[in-house]
Amino acid sequence: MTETLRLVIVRACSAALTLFGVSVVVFMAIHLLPGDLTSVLAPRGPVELREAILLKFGLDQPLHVQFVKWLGNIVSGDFGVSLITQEPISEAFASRVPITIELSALALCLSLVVGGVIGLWSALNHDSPLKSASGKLAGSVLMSIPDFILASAFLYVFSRYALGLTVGKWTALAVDPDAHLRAIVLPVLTLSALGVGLFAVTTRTAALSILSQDYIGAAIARGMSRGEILRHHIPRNLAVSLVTSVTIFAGYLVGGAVVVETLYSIPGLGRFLIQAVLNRDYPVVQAGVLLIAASVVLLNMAADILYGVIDPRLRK
Amino acid sequence: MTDHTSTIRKVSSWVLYATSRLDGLTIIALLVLLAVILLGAAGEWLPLPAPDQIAAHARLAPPGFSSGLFGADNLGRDVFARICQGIQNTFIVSASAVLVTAVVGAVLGLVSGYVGGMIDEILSRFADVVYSFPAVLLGLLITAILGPGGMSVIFAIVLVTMPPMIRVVRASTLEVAQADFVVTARVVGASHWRILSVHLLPNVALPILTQTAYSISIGILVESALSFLGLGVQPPVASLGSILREGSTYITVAPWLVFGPGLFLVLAILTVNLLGEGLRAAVDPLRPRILE
Amino acid sequence: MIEQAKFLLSRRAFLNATMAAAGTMAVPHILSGAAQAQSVKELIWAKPLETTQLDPHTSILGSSWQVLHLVYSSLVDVDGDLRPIPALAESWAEESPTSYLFNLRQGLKFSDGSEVTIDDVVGSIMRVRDPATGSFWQRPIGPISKCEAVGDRGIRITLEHPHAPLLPALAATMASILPMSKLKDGSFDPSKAMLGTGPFMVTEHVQDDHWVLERNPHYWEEGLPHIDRISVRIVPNDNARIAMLSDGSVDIASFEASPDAPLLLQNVPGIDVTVETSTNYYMMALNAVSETSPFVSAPLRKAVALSLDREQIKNIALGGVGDPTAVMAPAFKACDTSALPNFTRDLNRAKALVAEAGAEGKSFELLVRNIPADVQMAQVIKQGVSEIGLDATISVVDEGIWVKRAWVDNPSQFEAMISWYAGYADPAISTLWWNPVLAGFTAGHVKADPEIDRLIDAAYQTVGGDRAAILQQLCAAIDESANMIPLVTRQDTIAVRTGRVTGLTKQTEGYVHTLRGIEKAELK
Repeated sequence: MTETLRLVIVRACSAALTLFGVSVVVFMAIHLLPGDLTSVLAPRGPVELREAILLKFGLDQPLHVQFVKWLGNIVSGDFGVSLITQEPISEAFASRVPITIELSALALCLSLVVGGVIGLWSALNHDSPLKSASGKLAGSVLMSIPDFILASAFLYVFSRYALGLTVGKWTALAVDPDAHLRAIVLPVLTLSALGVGLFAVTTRTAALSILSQDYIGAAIARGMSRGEILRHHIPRNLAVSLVTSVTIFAGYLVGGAVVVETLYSIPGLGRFLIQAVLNRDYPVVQAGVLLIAASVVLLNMAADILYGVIDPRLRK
Repeated sequence: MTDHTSTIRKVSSWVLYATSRLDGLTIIALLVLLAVILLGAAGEWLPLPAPDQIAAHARLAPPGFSSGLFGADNLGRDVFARICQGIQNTFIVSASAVLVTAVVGAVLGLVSGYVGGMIDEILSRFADVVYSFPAVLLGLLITAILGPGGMSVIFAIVLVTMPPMIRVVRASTLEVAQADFVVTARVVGASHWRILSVHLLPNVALPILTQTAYSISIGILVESALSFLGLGVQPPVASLGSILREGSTYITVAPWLVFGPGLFLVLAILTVNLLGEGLRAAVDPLRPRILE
Repeated sequence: MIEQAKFLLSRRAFLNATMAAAGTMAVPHILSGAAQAQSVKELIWAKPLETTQLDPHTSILGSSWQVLHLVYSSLVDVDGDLRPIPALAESWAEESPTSYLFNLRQGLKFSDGSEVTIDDVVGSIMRVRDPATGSFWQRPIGPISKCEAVGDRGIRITLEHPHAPLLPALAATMASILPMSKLKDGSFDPSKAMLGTGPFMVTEHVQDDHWVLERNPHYWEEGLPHIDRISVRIVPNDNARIAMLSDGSVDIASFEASPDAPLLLQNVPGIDVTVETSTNYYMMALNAVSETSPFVSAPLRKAVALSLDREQIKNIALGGVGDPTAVMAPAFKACDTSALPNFTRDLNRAKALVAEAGAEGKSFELLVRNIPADVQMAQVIKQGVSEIGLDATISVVDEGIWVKRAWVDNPSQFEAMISWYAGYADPAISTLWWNPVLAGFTAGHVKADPEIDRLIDAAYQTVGGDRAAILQQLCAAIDESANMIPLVTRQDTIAVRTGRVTGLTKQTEGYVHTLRGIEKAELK
């Protein structure tokens, strides 16, 4: 128990350090962006107005002072105010983050189930070259279709033929569950393609390498059925590679949301962020990028801890 | 000097050995990939209109005898000619970026794994920080700072593919550095440079090669995604992503604008992925046998 | 301190306040077509761009005006032929060429129920004129020396000298009447909230997603608007908007800078497509100010102008929509383009001018926004200038960088750039941008030309009589300067589900009022 606790503490410290690095990078990146606040708020305004803006947002202060102030506010939960709407950013995030999480969670579940089944099926049929190769190929193909091509193809098919699913017509769950369902299917499918491929390939590879281990051979020799082997040996041994794949896929999801939400006009965090970049809404870009990077850092931390829990040999 | 010649000979013999062990699917992938690259390289000499010639055909003309294999785009340009140019640019941008990643990442990974200590800590932390930014987001920020264009995309791809490269090389280096012959070399007083270049590099070459293949497929993905968002190569120059971007608006009236370049993009990423996977499979059984 | 207080008052808080005042309820209003309540007549409009600049007096974006038009109104408006018609002012009289008396309607109210006072009107006009406001409409609205109350409902505008575009300029969003007393006491900040006298009022807004506009119960025209609610959905993707139209989830979709919208819409059943005539125009600016720009050379600018093939720009880059135009759009019938020196393509003269400038083989950067129409025009222009031995390198940048490099930096950080100007309802208004000193925002790339300045003043100040001749001269002088070169009119496409909305005004548009006439329209 204390071992695990120590592991958690070590990983948390390392994650905190990474988070700090991330925040420095985000802050510096935003300050390297061409075009400052004044060109957003008063593009054709007189000099006095621009100076007033600099003063109001504290941009006349040295960079490190601004950084400390910004980080302090973030830590206390204050993300600042959007330049465009002048509303608190945390409020804007509150309505958008759940949508992105919903999309990501559904995509993750779908990919895990479908990808896992394909991978196991193709691994268990490794004695049939055709079935085995087709499983591998299917996984690789799915991993190789960029999300924006898939989205374009869906847009084409579903705007051409009335097939019941809607494109670009986002409806909140609370307003109309049926319409919500019809609107969310295609974006989730688009996001899932990579995951299905990824999980199919990793499950297949992991299962194959386990199947070739001696103790599985022994289990087969003992006359255990495939189903029993599947239940007793494979799941535990798959866990490590699955954790890795889930982390990779989750990392993709937050970025993939940018493209998918834009193409399907979904009011999630990704689309909000890309719009903010285009609008030069710096505080939103800063906060959004930080939020996403922080969630990746936390995911990686969780994965590291899980590795240690699943397989104590992996503790450094 | 002879040491380094032998290093090169050792590595190339292992590459040949690995290639000879590739399975059927990987060989097919390799051939298709070569065909795609050839199309990109030879496009300029094919009897096609210039890729940026406006009104070469009627606007949005469907594929046909007079309008070429993949039809014409919204400015009446020949889509086949643009696909050839697109393949060329997509590969040039991603391959040159990955070349940087492979060289720099290999050096950093070797140093990090071999030297350890503070340098290792700093490099690993750097990799962690960069790795925390999703690829598209990183590309978005970089193009916003440096302005859109090929160089920004190359920079973005380098940053995206660097952390995994450093990690893979570092992990392999750590593994090899504990091997008896390295320890022996150190005991007999071989220089760090000699150990790194003669003993360690040949043994991490295959992981670098495999990771390079994956990096190229990631590079192609990032390049096309950024070009699709309009942040990559600048018009009228084509990359596979920018052709898709221009064509996606017209998907309901001229689907050939999307399906042609889309097919080649998927083929490129798929074959590079399969090649990487095949290489890994061919190399993996060798891993326990560390090279002397 | 007041500044601070204003800043703290979020738009949401404000909306809640106005809603409470108007007695409506704050419920989520975005409903699907099927679930739409029978009793509420709701129009759903999908538009590509978000409204980001809320202060009507300083807003420079047509995409923002589209929504501002629904919430605000001005003293006057314009009709289908761009002639002034009454709005908040029920009538007006030209007492002298420099004095106009406007009579305000009786019982005017803002959408929160508070009365529109004479001070609100006077204050609004003077706010546009106030240099501290930073409105680009400060000049076009006219040399107003005095704006004063006359009795309960009279407002007299006194001009320093005659100003021909006064009435059309007053009809612009930039001359909207704001609740000035609330603005002054800090309870209303026009950059964060909207409170006007227009047919609708804002009850809900989620940035980059949707707006909900409810019928303004205090609208000045009795019984109007007929429509209870307009839901505005921000849907950037053209095909997504078309899909929504065809499955019936939106009633109206508008398409801006999407040249091929009519083509994309042609096979969609059950919709009517209108390409509206417009006085707005695309233009290419050449930087004649920055020392590093090759276009400080007048012959080279003219050479580029002469290399332009406006028919090809229209047919290839803009999908055949629009008309080749000089600074005054064809709808004004003010400028005969056949008489202009550099309007018609002439490659021989252009090549001679390139040689004169010693610029053979010269390359320059063409800066454009990440917008299909602009990028396509840039490529046609690139091919055109290559025929006279010039090489254009296209840089596609996003809005923020473009605004900074084209409009904020001085000198502007571009050599050539593509943009568009609204044409408004008077042929002279937008010519002011060719006077870099008065326009201000063009100073970074437009070279001052005393002859053009004189003609602009004359066009602004001459009412009737010789104006036609002056306008033609001005048009020719601007063409000769080849500094900002008008290309083709910019026309938006509007698609409406057949039979769903009746009574929308079809007319020439110069103020980007996409839903013009919506207050009189009815839903079927």
